[in-house]
Amino acid sequence: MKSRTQYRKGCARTLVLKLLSERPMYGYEIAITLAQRSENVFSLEQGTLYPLLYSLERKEMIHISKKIKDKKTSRTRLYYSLTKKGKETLEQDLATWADIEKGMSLILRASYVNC
Amino acid sequence: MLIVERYLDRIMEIADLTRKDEKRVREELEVHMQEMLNAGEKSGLTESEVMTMVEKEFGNPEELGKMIARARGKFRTYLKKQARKLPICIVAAVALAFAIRAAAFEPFRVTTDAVSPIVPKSSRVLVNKLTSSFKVNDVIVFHQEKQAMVGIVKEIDEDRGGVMVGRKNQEDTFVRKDKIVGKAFFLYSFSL
Repeated sequence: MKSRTQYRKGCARTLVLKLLSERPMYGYEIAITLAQRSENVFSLEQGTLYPLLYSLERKEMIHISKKIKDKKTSRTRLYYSLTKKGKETLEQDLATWADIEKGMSLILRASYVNC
Repeated sequence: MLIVERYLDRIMEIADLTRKDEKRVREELEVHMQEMLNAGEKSGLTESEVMTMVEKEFGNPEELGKMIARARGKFRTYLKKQARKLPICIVAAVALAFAIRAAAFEPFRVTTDAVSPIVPKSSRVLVNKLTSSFKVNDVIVFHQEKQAMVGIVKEIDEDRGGVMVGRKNQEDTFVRKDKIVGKAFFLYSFSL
């Protein structure tokens, strides 16, 4: 279970950047979209999404692009979108991921064959 | 809703952010939880069931608080909090400095050789305004013709309520006690 958490943490940045590259989203929307698209692999501990968002914001990879006030609850939704630096980081992350995926599957597939 | 409030209180307490940041983060988390509650109610769960789900899915409030504090930058938060206090500190320091100058200690620059070699030309003296008793040979600063002057006490003149002050190459003059600023202490000289 612990290794799963570690894995997910490593992937979360790439996934959040990827989602935000499609369109601006607010926190809950990001969490729900992640859970739905990953078939609930990335659904646990939604709270930890916010520390991630704040650190990405501090590193200037994302920024708040619009605020929409909900008339019913008078609370504001903060929509995040990618900055230029965020787009660059996403590209790098995707390239890294492609390499890792290739390497991992080559080795893992090879060991299946040897079994 | 009370449970949500308590849960958020706990997170914010641990995160210990600046007021502005706290308002933003709290509202953002609140929006998120509200949506979770709404979604839960729609699928027919009771409030306590939804709350259990929220706590489970949102994570431990202590850990979350710590993570938020780290993500927003602990040092940055500290600096922001200090920066808020800075103007008050500066005003207080300036006010204090003026109060001390007015009531207790004030520095003067000596521009003449009137009391050399005890206090040579171009040196600084610190005047203690709190003393009211003077002895012969004390260096004092006094007002004369709206100017601050430095001199050496030659004689105490109790009858007239003052002292006789001597300056180099000048005749001793009488200075009333209320014209005396205070006793001067040699600090340092500019001409080394």
